Amino acid sequence: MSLSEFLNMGGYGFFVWWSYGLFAIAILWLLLLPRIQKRFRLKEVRQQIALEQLREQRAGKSSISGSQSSSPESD
Amino acid sequence: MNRLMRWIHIKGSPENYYRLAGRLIPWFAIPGLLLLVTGIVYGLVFAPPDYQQGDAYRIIFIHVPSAWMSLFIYLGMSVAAAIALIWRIKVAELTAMACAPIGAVFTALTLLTGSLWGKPMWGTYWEWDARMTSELILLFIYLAIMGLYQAIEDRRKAARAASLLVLVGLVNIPIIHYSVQWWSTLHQGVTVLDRKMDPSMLWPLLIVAVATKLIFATNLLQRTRLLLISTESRKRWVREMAKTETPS
Repeated sequence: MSLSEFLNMGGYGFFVWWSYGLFAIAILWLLLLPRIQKRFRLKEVRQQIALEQLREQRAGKSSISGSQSSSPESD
Repeated sequence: MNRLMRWIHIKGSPENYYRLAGRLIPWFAIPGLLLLVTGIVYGLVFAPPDYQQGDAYRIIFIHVPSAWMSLFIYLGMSVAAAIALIWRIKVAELTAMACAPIGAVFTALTLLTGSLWGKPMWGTYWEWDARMTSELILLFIYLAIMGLYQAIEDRRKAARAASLLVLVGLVNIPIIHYSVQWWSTLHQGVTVLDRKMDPSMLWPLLIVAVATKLIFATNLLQRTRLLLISTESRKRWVREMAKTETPS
């Protein structure tokens, strides 16, 4: 069996390869997307932590200098 | 019983579940992908052409496993949804919610590959017959569950509301299964169990069927872990993990 014969699939190549192609894309999309999303979610958590630390620092400074107090919980 | 419940409670805590799922993923993913490639190569290269349908029948090796998965995932999702509603276990809620997009993808694949098989065999991409219509409704049910989960802001309430919808949608599953018997459909009846299928055609089908189950298990664990990160993002264990995980 030659390669072109194999790709031709007895004249049904269009239908067979579209089916298998869509199937392959869907499986790869299912398995790879959560890996990418996980990286993004953890990055968001790190940003959230950094933001909270920054607020705590600011709150600490303002209470020492005695200037207007800003509570980090209010916003 | 008390000790069992306590054990479930400790092992089923979000943090423990996250770690356990992470350890299990490769055990499902690697055999799943190996079996998938084996089954597809077997089906495309080594299985003989059908005496009636020629090479077009090879779509069966992905169409039928996808169709089985579209129903199997719904049943699994229903079990998780029932547990979530009765015992209010967080991990069960997230498991049910993680099932929906995977089920939707397999349902869409069933419809698409079926359509691509129908055109050369029946002369049409689509027919409003009972099997196809009920499978299309299944896709809409999956999408409705995902939509409802996204629409409610409180994540716990959203999961419980969507779980209830899961159980309501369960009524469609026997309709899909028996549609080829209850109505005269263009879609053929049960092939694999009723008619004798040649082993050289049955094997690749069964191999892909097992492979898709393992890929579903992999993806379910991945997605449940992802939902755990989102819903527990203010908890200490997620924060510790985010800090230690290398930012790549």
